[in-house]
Amino acid sequence: MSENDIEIPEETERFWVRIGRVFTRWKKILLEKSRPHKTLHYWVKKAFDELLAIHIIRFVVQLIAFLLLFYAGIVFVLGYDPLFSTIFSGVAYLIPIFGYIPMPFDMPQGIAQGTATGYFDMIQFIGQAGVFPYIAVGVIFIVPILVGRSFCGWICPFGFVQDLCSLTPIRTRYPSKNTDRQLSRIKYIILFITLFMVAWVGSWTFLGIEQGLVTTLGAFGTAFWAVLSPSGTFFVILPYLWIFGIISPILTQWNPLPIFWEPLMWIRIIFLAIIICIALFIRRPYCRWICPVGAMMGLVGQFSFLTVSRSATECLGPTCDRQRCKTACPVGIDVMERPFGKIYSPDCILCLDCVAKCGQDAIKVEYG
Amino acid sequence: MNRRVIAIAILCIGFAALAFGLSLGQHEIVRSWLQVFSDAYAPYFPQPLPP
Repeated sequence: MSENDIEIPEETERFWVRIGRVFTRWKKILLEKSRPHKTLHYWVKKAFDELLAIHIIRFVVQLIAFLLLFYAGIVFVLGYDPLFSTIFSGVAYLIPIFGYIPMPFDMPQGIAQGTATGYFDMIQFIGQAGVFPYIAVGVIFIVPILVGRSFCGWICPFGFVQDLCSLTPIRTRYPSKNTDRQLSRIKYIILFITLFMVAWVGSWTFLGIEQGLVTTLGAFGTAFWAVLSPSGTFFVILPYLWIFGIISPILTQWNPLPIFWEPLMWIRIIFLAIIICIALFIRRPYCRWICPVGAMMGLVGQFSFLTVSRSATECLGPTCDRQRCKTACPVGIDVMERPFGKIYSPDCILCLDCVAKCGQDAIKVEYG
Repeated sequence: MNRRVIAIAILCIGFAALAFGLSLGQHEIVRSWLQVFSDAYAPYFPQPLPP
């Protein structure tokens, strides 16, 4: 370890603390700027080491995805998009494949729907409409094999919301392995029920006998899980409440909120609030225990070409004095307990926190 | 069975499903899916008051 490296205390290892330390370090480096041995190569290398650190890149990517989806939610609620629809649709149609498959910038109103997780919603909407969603199923099979669940770790805006929650000063709790294992089953149960409902409603719709069933199921008859998804609540329902529940009545004396008496909306908001509260002291609770999209991507993604691996030659194992990897994982995977070599886990979201925190460079990313 | 064989098999199924969906013209359904999505959320949106 060089003299410039700063050891971060285990208890205060929070993102903003790290950001602060990066700035402190840069200040120190800039003050030493006049030293003759600091060549251009030195400064370029420093810039890459600091600015391209994994957690900073991931934070920036997550922030961009979050802002895009937040904007998409506003657009969806307002019903029009004054900014991006014209610009990006024009660009998208210049490239043929984008004309066929909806992409994030192709469909500003459906940025989430242009991604892998959006295809899970499509499975529900199209499947329950009586059509087998070949394209959506294809994407759900292809994406996790090629890049694992990296979507969950790098793009998912609701994952980012949970990451932000875990940055608060509240002390992070680590549920026991048994509790974690038991609760992890919930997401597979939700996935099974969702796919069962898609098959049930879809087949009845295909046969033309769905009327009574769909009426009985109400909103769940259109898309079983999508009407409960906290991501939809956060990015659609909450902007709706802000715009039509607070801003619009103030501006126009309009009384636009009969929806306030809809029980489903309050169920969604309470569900979201519970998840946010849990995320304040447990990292990524929704991703590891509830999310059926993550469950499905994990089932396929455990065979992914993109994995994290633990080196047998460089890992010190139990003799390692830091063992940061034990608590690095936001979804509770204890890297130290895994066998050497590639780590196959349906829960791994490829956030690469374990790679960044290993002081021995023993954890690496592998493809193939 | 070797993981890589399973991965390639899943990948082949995925590409086959994607190609089959495109050949059936399901991309048009995908395009109109936003409308389905909007209909599902319609109760959440206020209806404009008559003038």
